[in-house]
Amino acid sequence: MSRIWFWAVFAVGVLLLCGCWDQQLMKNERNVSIGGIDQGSNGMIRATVSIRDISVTESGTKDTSEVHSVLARSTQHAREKIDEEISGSYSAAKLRVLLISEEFVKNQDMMPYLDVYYRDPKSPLSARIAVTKGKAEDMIAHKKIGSKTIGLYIDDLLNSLEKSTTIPRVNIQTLHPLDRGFDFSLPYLIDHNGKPTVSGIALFKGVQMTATLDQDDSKLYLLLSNLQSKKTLLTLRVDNPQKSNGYDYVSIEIKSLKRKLKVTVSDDQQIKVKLQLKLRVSVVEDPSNHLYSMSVLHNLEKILAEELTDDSKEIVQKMQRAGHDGFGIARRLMSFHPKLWKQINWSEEYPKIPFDTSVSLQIVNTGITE
Amino acid sequence: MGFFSQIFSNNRHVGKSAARKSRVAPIEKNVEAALQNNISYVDQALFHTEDLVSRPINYLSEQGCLLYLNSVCDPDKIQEVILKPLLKAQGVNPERDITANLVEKHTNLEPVIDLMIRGYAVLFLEGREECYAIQVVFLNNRAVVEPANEKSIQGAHDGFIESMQVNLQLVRKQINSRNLVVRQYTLGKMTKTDASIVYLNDLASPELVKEIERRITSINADNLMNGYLVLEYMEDKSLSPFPQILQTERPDRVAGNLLEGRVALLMEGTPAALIMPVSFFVFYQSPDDYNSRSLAGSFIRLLRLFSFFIAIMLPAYYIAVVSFHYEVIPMELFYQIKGSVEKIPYPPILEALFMELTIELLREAGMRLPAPIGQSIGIVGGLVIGDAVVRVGLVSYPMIIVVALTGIASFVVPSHEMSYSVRLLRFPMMIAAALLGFIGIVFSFTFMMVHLCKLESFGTPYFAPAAPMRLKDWKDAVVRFPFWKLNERPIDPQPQKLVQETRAKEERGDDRG
Repeated sequence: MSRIWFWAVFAVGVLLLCGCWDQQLMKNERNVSIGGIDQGSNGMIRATVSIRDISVTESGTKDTSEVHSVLARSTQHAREKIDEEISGSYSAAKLRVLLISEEFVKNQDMMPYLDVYYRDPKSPLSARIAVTKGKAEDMIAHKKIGSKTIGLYIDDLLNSLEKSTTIPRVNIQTLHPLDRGFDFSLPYLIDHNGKPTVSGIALFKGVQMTATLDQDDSKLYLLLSNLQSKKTLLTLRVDNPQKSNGYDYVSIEIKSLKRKLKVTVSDDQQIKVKLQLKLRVSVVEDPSNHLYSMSVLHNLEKILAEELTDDSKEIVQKMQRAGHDGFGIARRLMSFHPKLWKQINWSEEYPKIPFDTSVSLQIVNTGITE
Repeated sequence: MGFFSQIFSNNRHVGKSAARKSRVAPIEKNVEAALQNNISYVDQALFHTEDLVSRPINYLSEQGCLLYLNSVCDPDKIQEVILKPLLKAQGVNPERDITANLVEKHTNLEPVIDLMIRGYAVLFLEGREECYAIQVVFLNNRAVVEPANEKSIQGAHDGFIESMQVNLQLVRKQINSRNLVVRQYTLGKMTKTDASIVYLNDLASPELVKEIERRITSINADNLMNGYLVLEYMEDKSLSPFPQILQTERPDRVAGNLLEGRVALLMEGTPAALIMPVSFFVFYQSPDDYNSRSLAGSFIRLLRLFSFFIAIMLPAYYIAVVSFHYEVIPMELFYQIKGSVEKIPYPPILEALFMELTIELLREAGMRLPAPIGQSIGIVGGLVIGDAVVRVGLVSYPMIIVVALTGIASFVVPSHEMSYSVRLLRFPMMIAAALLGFIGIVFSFTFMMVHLCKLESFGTPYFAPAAPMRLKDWKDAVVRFPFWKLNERPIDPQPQKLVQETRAKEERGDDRG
């Protein structure tokens, strides 16, 4: 009897101890907070990572950032090479931002290099992705901006811009190639006086970057794509011939938004798109301040609507020229007109589609009381 | 070999030979007419114990002798209720003259000897073939004070003491019902301890009472000195980590449970009542819940139930996170934890075991020491060790937080028995977490839940309102609804009457609901 017990306990113990094989002690890992991919020589990539370390002492915590850069054949290869370079084992589980250089995404398909992120169960799928003008390596080499390490800084920067509807909410997961029928856009980072700054967004055609939009246009672009975030503030020019320059601008906050996107196919297989945007806004800044009068108010509404319509048309044209289908028109065709979809060559057809774009606007609030 | 067989037979043959020597008591020995014969018989029956006093006495013209054990009898009482009345006696019947409240006439000597041990004085008279046992027991009761381990903020401040009579009186004071029944037993072959079960005749299930009676009477042991010993004999599964009988020192808690159809066991010398059958949730009910308003009571009770999960799972969760699943921690916290974990040389499980055992040691040391020194142990342990251990790099800061939180959470339970269980249970949880991470926690938690669902207390389900599910009972098990909402008793002790009130608020002419 006691022998049976002994073997039973022994067997259970041995079976359970197998679990220790999968242990990944937090203290042994080196955690990457930001990674970057650049074009390397001979078809290789240059991968750069910044490892964030905190040392906790009695006087407080100290943040440091350690940068490593390797030339590798693929992302996984790069991981291995970095792992050889650093002390401890490499872990990307806490990656916050992945930077890809403009040169890289303009010249080649970046999807193969993201593949490893979709396989690893500890993968940081919520990490943000951004395109950098110039090399990602140089951006990461800043190590620290103020008291924040570079990874945290760019993450917080992108986070705050996402909230103000300046850049789309994109992370590794939303980029997954299974999600077809529309093109994504990524935040576009530039190095401005030694500080990473978002200058707008980069538009993609499929997996290649084709154009950029500046911050003002990207806000309108996001409104047209019905991707409004927590808060959207637009500052528009209103020509005011009687007053000096300071009176030229009006700031409006978008309170609510209704977008109508209609893709119609006529009998002769002509694709037409009707894009309507209805905004209800509140005026948060208006130096000339005559909005108590209804005629002035309606006049302002008219001016703003016209201006927004013109800007929208320009943006749509730019998108068409770049072959960027950010509104997901392809997806509508796929689902509602599958026969037509099979016949056409989308990349040729898309720039030719006539867009009927219009923005209407209603001011619902002009003061501080709501 | 002889050596080993002696060890493994637990020296049984020694016990046997000792047992053989003991005196086999005759069942009957009649009182003889000769006074001296009776005295010497009693003296022999008590093995010439030196606290036996025999005082010659004169009752009118008769020669007599008063025998008693002076260690259990009250000399003032003997003076007051025996000696003085007998001096002034008129008639021939000492039973009438003696003013004690209990006087028994016996013709058989054997039961008289047992009574002497319990504080009776025996009066023998020359020429009479009978004797009189007079109760003159020396009562040395401590005051009825609030029990130190079951304090309440609001509510009654009385607690049980070591005398069963006083305890029964405390219970009766709470429930003035003729249905409150007391059944008395004498337990223990040697200790012969008085015990009584108390229940409400019209409420407690008859099968339950019968079962409890069966279990009490079938215990065959020499030593049943107190309730804590009886508890293990009566429990369904002594090796389960969960207690299946509630010990309480509060009369109001006993009364509350009796009114739900449960049964209480009181014993001489035990300052507590054992309540049976109980469910898991009874251990998390405190009289304070009922003495405060229902919102406050519900909040505190939810907090306590939540503390159960913290106490058994928090260290396990932390170990699993730090050694398997660090990606679940939010980023900023992750780097903070990583910063302090980095310099610890041991795996988290050793770190946790070290700290948990230190806390248990401190607790035990603080309990054993007299109160003034006990406090300084707390300071030495809590502050000095807690701080130094981190500086040296044996344990990380987050681990200190986790262990401290767990310690606090395990002391929240209103029952000490359950508190011990909870503290024990977290060790297997921690080991499972160290071996298999979250999966280990899930496995061991499932294992525990299966055990809880399977467990029975006197034939009633232990995990009662949860499994088997009865949502109505959650009103008093998980939270505490206002009393006028608790129309029915919990079903798990199978009370004879389920309804405990009807439309309480409506009958008051109040339709506020």
